[in-house]
Amino acid sequence: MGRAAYPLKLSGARLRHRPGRAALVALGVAAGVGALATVGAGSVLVQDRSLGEKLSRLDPAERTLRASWGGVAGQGTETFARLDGEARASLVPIAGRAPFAVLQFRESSIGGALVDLGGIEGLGRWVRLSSGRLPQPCTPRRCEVLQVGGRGALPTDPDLHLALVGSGRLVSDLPLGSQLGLRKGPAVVTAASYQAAQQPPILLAEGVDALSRFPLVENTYRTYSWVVPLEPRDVHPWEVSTLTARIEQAGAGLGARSNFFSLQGPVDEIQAAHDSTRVASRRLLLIGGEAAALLLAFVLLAASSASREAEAASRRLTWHGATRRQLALVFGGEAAAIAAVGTVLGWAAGAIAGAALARAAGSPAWAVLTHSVVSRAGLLTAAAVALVAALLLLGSLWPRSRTRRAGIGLLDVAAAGALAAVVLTLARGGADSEALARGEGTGVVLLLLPGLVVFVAAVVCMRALRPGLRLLERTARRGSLSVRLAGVSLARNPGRSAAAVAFLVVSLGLALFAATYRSTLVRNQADEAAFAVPLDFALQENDAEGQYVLEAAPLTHYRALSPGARAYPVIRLVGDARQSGPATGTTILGVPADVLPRLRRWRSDFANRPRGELARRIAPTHSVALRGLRLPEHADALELPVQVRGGPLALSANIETDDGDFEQVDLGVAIDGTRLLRGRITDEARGGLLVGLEADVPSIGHLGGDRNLGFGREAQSAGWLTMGRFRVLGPSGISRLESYAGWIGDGGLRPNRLAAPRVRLRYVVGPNLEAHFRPRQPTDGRPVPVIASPDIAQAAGPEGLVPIEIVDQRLLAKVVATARRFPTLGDSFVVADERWLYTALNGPQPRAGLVTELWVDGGSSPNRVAKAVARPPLDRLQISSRRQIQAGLTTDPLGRGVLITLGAAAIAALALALAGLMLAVVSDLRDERGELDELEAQGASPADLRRHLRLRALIVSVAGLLGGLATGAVLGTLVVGVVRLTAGAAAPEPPLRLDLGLGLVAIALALYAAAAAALVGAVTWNAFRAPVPGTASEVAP
Amino acid sequence: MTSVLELRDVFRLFESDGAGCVALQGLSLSVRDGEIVVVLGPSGSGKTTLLRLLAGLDRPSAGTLHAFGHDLGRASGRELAAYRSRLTGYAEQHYSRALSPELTIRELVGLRLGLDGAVTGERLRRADELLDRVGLLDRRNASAGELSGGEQQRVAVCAALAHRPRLLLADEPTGELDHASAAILYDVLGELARAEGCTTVIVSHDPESTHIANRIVQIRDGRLASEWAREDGDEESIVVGRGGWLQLPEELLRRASIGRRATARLSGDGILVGSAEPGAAPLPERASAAERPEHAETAAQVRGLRKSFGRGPGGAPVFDGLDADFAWGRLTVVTGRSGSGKTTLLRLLAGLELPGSGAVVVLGTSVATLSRDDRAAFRRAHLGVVGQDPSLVPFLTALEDVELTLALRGIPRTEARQRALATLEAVGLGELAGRRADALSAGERERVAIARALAPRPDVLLADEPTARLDQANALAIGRLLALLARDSGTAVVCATHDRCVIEQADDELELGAVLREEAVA
Repeated sequence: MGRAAYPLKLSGARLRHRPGRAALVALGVAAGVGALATVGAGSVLVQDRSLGEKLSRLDPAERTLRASWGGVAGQGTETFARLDGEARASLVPIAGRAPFAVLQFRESSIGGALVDLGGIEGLGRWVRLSSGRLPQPCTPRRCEVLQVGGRGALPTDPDLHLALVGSGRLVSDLPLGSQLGLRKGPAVVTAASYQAAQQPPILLAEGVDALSRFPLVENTYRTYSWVVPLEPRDVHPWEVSTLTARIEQAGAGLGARSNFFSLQGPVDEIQAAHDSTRVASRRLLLIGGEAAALLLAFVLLAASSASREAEAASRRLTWHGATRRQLALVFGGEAAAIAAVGTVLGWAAGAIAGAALARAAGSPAWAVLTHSVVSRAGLLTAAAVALVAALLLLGSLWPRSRTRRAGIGLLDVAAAGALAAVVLTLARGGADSEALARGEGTGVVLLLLPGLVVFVAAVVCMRALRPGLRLLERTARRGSLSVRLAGVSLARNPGRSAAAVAFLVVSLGLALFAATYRSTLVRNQADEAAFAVPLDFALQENDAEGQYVLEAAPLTHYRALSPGARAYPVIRLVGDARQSGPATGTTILGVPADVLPRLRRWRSDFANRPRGELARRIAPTHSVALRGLRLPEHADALELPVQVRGGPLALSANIETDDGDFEQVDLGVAIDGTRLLRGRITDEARGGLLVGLEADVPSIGHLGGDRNLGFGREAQSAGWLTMGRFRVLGPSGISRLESYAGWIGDGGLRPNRLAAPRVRLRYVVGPNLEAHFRPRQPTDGRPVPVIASPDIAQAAGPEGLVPIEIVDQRLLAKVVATARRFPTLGDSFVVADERWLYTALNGPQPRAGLVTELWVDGGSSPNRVAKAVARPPLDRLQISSRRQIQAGLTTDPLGRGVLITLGAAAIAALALALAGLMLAVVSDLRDERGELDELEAQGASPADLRRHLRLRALIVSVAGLLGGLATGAVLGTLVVGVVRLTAGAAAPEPPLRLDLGLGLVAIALALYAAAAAALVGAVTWNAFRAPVPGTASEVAP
Repeated sequence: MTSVLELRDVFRLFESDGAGCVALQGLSLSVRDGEIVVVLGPSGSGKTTLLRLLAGLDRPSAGTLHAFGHDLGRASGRELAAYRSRLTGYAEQHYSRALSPELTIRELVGLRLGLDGAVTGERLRRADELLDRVGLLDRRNASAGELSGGEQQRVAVCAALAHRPRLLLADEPTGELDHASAAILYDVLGELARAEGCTTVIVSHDPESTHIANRIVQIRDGRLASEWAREDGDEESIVVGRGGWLQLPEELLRRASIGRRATARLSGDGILVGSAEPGAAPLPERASAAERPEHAETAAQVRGLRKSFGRGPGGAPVFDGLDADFAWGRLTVVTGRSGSGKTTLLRLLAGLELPGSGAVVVLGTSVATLSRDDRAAFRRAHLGVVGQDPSLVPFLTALEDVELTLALRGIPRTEARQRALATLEAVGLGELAGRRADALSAGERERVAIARALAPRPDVLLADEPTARLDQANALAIGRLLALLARDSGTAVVCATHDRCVIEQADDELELGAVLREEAVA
């Protein structure tokens, strides 16, 4: 055996002799490495799940591979069979499964009837039958079809005998695309039917080939499609580049075979989703950095606890003639073996954990591993970690002269360098969400950030410890012997204690960081849900259904849903508050002022003033209800006697309905002369409030379509209008409304003489000149008090006045308070009292500011309200539930994974803190055995010595805890401030706010303190348990 | 024979914070090739330092040291390592520290060969050969911990010789062995050294070692004091150092009533040395039998004491029915070879060990029947203990260390400080009272330990080798202090020692060894 090999054998012997200590250190290495490996695998897994999640949110039609061929079969030699073979040969290797074929003929007239005809392979998968049965595949004599839309007569032709066997509707746009609009809601379809010609029958056959070969349609343009939807689980981050390349290649291949072939794939969608998932995976590196820092600290602590024994071994070997190189081999071999075993075990454990997580998350475990921990880069990382761990261990074991040095040392310089690196990196925005998304070097920043910060903190704590301990020593002089001894020993011999404190600072700091970051993210989920839905539910108009929110149910309806339940009307508009430059898209929100104090999870960082004061500032101090003339409940018609001198004038009355909407009663056209105009009052308008008269130039419709009269929309009309009082016709006869006292004219209507009961107005009306004659409203001439975002507040003029353009209306607002954030709103907003805003907008121009949504407080039983809003009539609205949003965020696999990882990291760090404290106590007991025995020989009782050691452990723990708390808070603040991402890796709205999670932290620390007290108590009790000193059972390591 | 080791005016100074300790001060020595030299001297005289210098583990502060043609004072670290590796074999004083616990004794013996790159077969053959010669072949697969002390030390010697070094260095190889084991070991050592033809330097204070020596040298206070070569017959020669320094044996000085000053004049071919202090008080003599209290009450006694260490066949019996009494007002020295049980006896009296059987009664209290806490309280109330290797609390000053002992006894802070200072003055450390223990020299620490034990004015003082690290003058001073303490305060002082400076002050001697007996020094 050579001179180099023999020392390695000695390393083996040393390891075999003290397997416990070696195992402890190796376990520490394994724990850290395992965490790193788990993070590595988890990072890929999170990216995979995140990608799957994002893809699953896409409509299946948007993540579909679709090869298409369009042309006329009779003009070429390209049969469906040949095309089918080529398309399948191209698509199967990409998707891993066969596509289904679709045939669509151009809308054609067959047998005199227009028809949309097509065929789908496996038609049954895509339709839901409403009557009849599914068609059988076509035969040359008969082709069974299913009608899935359109109306009209079915084509009949002897050469294409179509047999309708049933009807139904398509359940997905995937086979035919969305052009046919077959999945639109009935309200939308109905609305659309007014604007377009009636759609002919849409008939689908089973299969493609037979239908495509009917002679009648041989020369009909058709499109063959081969469709294969990509399932979210089909696409993995590590395959994205390959997949997109394959799609491109397949498209090129098909194009080369036929000019009419094309291939569409969701390349952009997949790439975009993939890019966004990088953010999620990179953030996990924070945990990796934490694990690495913990590993580093624990290895150093564990190895330093064995340094005395290593010194003795070094001395022995030196006596036996070992050279320094051989000593390096002995200790290097030992360190390498421990590091290697720890790394292999840890990496394997991390791989197993990663595989288990992948399996649980539904990702391919082996693929996740081969692209993370068992990839080439992963294995190289493991090797690098092992090397670093080995070098650290060797550095700790290597005997060196122990001299006390004062002043600035290497450690201080390194800490200053680390601090500078952190500050510079963060100042450059090296780890913010934008940089994370770009991914340029952020991995290194995130990986190193926890380590650098805790390193700086540990060095600062170690430096601060000395004066602190000296102070303690002075204070302890008056205490009992144990207290004095503990104080003096720590103050004058702080070496090992400083190392233990540093480790506690690191481990507890990282534990606290993980815990606070986790609670911050959890809190953010609740904040985010409350920001999106400020009360329990938000009900909005459903685009598909076209249902006005108050039409579904009046506000009073909600009170009956649950005790305390209440709905608040909300007006949401978009305007522009800038007086120059491009429009900013300021949101104008009208909410009842009294809802502000009820908003869930309002945060003090939203505004400098409390919610109550904000509410008080915007609340109306007088009635701002819309004024007008109240119509009787049973009014059928409205009559208005008019006399016109001048151009014709179309008049209509605006009536506010009970549900807050406005109905317009067309009174007809007043032509030169005297007339009694009359309009029918709709059911909704009965009992409503007549809020004004609107004058316009008559349209062609008004004039019965006779263009020869020479009037058109473009014309302007002017003259004098004299009106009498409105008369209401109803079952009980005719009644007159009140006079026009207090009415004013807007736009082209100017009252010239207002003498009850008649009024004379000068009018000039045209397309761009609105004309209203209406009651003066309580909001007229008074700016609307608003809470404004900082940008709006800054743009406000003297006295806080700011005009806001809303479509063709200008709202004058007065900024009475500023808020940085407001639920449901972006950066630029004003918030006003809903009633004030309603009147201010609708008074001059009815329907200018309708209630667009309702915020519903579920009262004492939100669950009952949740059930109620899921039932008619409220189910026709778009319903957002705060709890559902929060549940969605909580159950999001990515967010949940991050939170679980953070929780696990916190627990692991806390456990390591406990292990570190124990290691320190055990090392003290072992290395100070001589001094302790001597003290006992001098008469100190075992109880005194136990107390002394326990006090030291307590002081070390408290110092470590204080440092750890500060470190955790600093690290948490840094990370929360810099990495602005939610648990699900989205941009947080509202921004993250550090939540120390004091309750949880207090419980965790109490458990830690109890466990530490129990363990330290047990170890120190056991150390002096033997009948005589010096014979206590040896405690590892 | 040519000289292979040449030391000329070698000094070795150990620095510490604000204090220094001179281990060697102008030592000169030559050793011839193949010679077996035994270096005798009390603990702290510089023997181990000498050996470390010869082994290349340390360098002289001044002077020259040549070994086998190498100037060890100027050699580079690499050259020293090569010298140490190729030429020397080192047997350590504490064999338990020298033998790696993780190896079998066969591997231990072959360790050096392994480090030199020998193949396994060669290494094991050589190990077996040596173990066979020392009678341990049948136990070759045992670990060192399974062997008795003597066996372990034999293994240590084999390990030091395995690679056939040209220089064998052995530091107190029998320091922790009983008489029989020591005799066997020296026989083995002499036989092996001669068989291998290696030059051997053995540091010891065990007279048994002289049987195998070609030459015996005495060092004291870091200098060569005298030497005796077997070829010179029975006459021991006193070494004359540079500048005429020579060190006369303590016994001769005492008999000539020479204290601090002497005169020297030629007388024929020789020099006559006499006292320069007419009427100077003779150095304290040991108390005569007539002066001692004849019926002194016994402060402590052991009866039928049995104690052994280790279990099974390797277990070493230390006491087998020992009876002994320790009287009030008397300094009783416990003597005997290393390993004879001196320390154990003191620890038994202090309640720091428990007897296998028999009674240990101190101040009428059967110590062994007390709990560990009660024994601590008993020590606190009645005993002062100076350990063999006193571990002062390293971060306390000398004064605080002594104060701590007084604080343990509940003595008020002010009084404790005064008493501690006074006691430190008494042991000659008044000026160093404010220095931290870990900045004191070994001798100073020893004196602090003594002050710490004396300060509480204990009823019984137990001191284990209190002068082991002191030079002769301090050893004498401490010896006197202990004797005075016993006589003036009536304290029963029990002191384990083999330092004649202390033994000569003692009232009683309990010699432990193969035959345990108590005899009057007179």
